[in-house]
Amino acid sequence: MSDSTVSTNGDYVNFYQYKGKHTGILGWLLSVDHKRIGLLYLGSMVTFFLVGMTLGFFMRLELWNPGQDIMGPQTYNALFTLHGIIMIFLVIIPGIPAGFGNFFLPIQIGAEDVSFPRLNLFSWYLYTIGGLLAVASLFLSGGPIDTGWTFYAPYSLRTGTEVIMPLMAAFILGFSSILTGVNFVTTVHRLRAPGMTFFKLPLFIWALYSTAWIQIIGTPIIGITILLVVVERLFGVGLFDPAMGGDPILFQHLFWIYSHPAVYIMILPAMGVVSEIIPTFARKTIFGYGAIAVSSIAIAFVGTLVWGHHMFTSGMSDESRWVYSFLTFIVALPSGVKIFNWVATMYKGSIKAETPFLYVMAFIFLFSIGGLTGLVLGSLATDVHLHDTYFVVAHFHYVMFGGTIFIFFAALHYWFPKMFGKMYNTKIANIALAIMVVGFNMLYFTFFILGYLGMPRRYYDYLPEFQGMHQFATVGSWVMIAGILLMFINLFLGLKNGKKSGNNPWGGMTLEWTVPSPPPLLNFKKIPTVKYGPYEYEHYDEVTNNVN
Amino acid sequence: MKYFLAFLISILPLGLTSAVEDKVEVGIEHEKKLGTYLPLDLEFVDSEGYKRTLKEMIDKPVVLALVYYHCPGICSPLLNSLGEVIDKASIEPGKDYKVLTISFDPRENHEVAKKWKTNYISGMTRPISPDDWIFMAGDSTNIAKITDAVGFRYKPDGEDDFVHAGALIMIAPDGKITRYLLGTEYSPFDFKLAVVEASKGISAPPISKMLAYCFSYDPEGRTYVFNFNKVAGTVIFLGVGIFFVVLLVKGRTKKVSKGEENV
Repeated sequence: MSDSTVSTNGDYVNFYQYKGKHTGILGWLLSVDHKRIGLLYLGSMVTFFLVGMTLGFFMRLELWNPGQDIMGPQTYNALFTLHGIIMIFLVIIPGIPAGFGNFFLPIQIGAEDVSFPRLNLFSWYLYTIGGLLAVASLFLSGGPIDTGWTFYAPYSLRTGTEVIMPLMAAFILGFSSILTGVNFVTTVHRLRAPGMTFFKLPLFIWALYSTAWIQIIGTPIIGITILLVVVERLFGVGLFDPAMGGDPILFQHLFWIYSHPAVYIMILPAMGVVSEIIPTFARKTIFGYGAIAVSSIAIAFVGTLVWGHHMFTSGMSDESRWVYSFLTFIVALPSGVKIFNWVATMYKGSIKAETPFLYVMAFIFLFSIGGLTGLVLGSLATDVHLHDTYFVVAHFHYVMFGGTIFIFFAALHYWFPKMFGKMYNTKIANIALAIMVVGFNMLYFTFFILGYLGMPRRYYDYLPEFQGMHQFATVGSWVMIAGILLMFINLFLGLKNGKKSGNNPWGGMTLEWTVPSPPPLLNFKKIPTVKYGPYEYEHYDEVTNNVN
Repeated sequence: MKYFLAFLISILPLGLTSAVEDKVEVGIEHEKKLGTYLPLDLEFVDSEGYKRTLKEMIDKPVVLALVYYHCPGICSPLLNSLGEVIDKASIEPGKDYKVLTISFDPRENHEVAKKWKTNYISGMTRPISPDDWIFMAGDSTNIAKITDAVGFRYKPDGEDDFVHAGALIMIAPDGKITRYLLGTEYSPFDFKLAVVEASKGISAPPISKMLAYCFSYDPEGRTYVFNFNKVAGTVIFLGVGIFFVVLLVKGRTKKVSKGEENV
């Protein structure tokens, strides 16, 4: 962070100005302050996001004409694999919890820091090492990995490309995720401010708490699976390779036992952010607080039992298929509970359609499309036809990108004034959002139609009759990237030249809005005592006047 | 970690023994043969008993399937999938391409080929002219030449059968091998793409790199894997259960006073 972000605000020293044992770059790299670590994460993630986006841009460019345009099939395979690994393991999974969670979890529960600040810094180092290993694997002798981000056996055992290094990267990233999870669970249990009972926690904290449990329970499984693939590649043990009596379906089970719950690691924190933003801009307490809180836990729990729906066409008994299909439909219930409660919160609210709120509206629209098409894939009969087509690609981009990443952007706009004490140009931010939504739908809605017509995923080539739609989607990708770049440039300009935002520009009621922007080192002068629920706007003056 | 290593060491010999047993050069050398040309002077006998050269038959893109007709394994599924994909793909057999099935067992004659032809052609949903899906048999010399030309490696298994892999091979009108569709399941999209490429003579590597092999496979014989899983699963669940009970019984330790965290 440059000096321009430093602001003196009366008699307090904010966490940028605080002089610890180390200064300059070491003041960041060796800081155990949860806010600095959160910003380190955010910086790394935005960088990786731009890398992943560039890879996606080149993939779309290759698909401009049928046949080979700018790259051969092998390069294309490497690109979609890396696009997946970077976006999933380096951006979306750690995204909201490690970035915004680190910054705001302690403040929102009225704590000075997380329970284990050193462990927290260590997780960021693991994350960085994992990221660097993933990038370094590109330059090793075998060439970049081409298995897809799912590393399916037996291909991942046989391909000549460099597999072990990116697997180790994912393994290390997993540890970073587990440690963050342990830290958050402990912090929520042990460091809540006096009076903050579990059912007075902000809903973002509920979401982070549920996510942290999935991280702790699920991630070790992918870690072990990855080690087994490495062992099999090195020693030819024969666990997954059918030629040696192994079972490739076993790999798929082990992989999805983690990776499906990981989908909820990705989306739950985003849902938590939505539950923060909507009451703030509707100036009304959230409708069905308990239902939303419990539905996070319900999603986390049922979400661990549905992994089989990735494997309907891989070879599985009919009983397992309908059970997994049924459970998949059950997960839609808590998600539906959330959507309806959000909409009900807005009913008769006094809505201020400011930038973060508009991002959330875009999210609800895109995520609903993503969620409902998920049911199409969750039903057995339709899945058999749509499996491995662009329909699946469209579905998970609507959920992951239209869901998690759009909320990542919303959170960036919502908490930007709190993190930096400055305000961006809201008009440009809204225009950027509009451009993004148009480009997004041009790009990914076309994928639904292409998939329905039989375009398989992961192909660098296609039949001539699909050319029109592929070109339309590629143009959409340009529009969307233009919107994303405009948004980042606008935020960057806000960081450099933005006006002072004040402590509570949106009129929020959770504890982070009661502390100065940017917050001081230990967040609070005195640990607050909590009397009311997080969104009880009838007590707005009492809560917000009690400024630290 | 210790137990995990112990587990790995205990299963290592299993992996090694099975690796040794399965060392046969069965498969399809698609990397070596892609883009090369078939010798068009090879002669086979069609289901009516007439001798015909490949040159006479390959006048448009040809989908070549190498099977043997009394095969107990993947040959029927392969031909069934081929029939299905011909039904589904939006290209016209006879107009855009032809299908050629050749037995690689020299002991089979044209009468067997005819039986299979009748069976498959009558099973089609999309009507296909008998001239457009040709079933053939051949002598050992011609079989050896064609299997060698496309890189199809197989070996005898018992008295009657063969260990072999399954694939469709796309041949351009000039005899060039343009694509392999490996395995025994084909999507209409891949099939059409391959035919379009063959008609232009463009060769491209296989999309799915998984081969399907034909040998007997006995899931019952591998019960030790499942037993291990059951035992390990029970131990883990019991362990977690006991751990929780211990935590509940012991209760919380003394509360840490707040504000002592290291900053």
